[in-house]
Amino acid sequence: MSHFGALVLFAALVSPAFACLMREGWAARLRFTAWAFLSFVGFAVGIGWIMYLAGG
Amino acid sequence: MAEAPARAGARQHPRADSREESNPLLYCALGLMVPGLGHIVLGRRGTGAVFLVCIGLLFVFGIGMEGELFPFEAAAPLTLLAGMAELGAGAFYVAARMLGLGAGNPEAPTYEYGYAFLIVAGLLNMLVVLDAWDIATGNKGSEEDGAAGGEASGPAR
Repeated sequence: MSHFGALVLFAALVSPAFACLMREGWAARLRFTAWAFLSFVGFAVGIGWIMYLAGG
Repeated sequence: MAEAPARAGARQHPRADSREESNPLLYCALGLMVPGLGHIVLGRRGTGAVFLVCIGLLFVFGIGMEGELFPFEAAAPLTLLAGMAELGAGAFYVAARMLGLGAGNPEAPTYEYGYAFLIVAGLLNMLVVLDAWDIATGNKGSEEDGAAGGEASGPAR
């Protein structure tokens, strides 16, 4: 499994659990799941690019 | 006017009284044994199922990635903490131990991912147990799933 694959898998499994902990109602949970998932992946990719560019 | 208190009482969840009578620690113990079971017994079946599937898959993938179930070594505090975190996965941890899984392979490319998944599964279930405590004591959850018309559950107050 690639690094990115592991990241996506982790985000996909953790996001719904966090949503159920932090939101009430399935609609709000669905929105939070999407937001958390995209945040996990987005921040990881962003930080990856920063490290890549900073490292030359 | 005199009906107001009665109406307010009528909105309570049918299980509210029994929850107040039962010990919240029971729900926490159930949740610690099997992720999500505390929520399921509290009437939040959908939420409990989400926890069971997510934490279960995290643990299974962690084992599949050749992650390690760390031993309880007092001489190595970080290893001890990691082992305690993994123990939080409850039945999954016990089952893996009984099946002889979780030996870990530090040479595997996914070893670090694997034990990270295992640790997160355990820690996440500890949060779930605390959530079950909040629900059982009435500190959380007055509109469970109300917006989307999901599972039948209500206030514990």
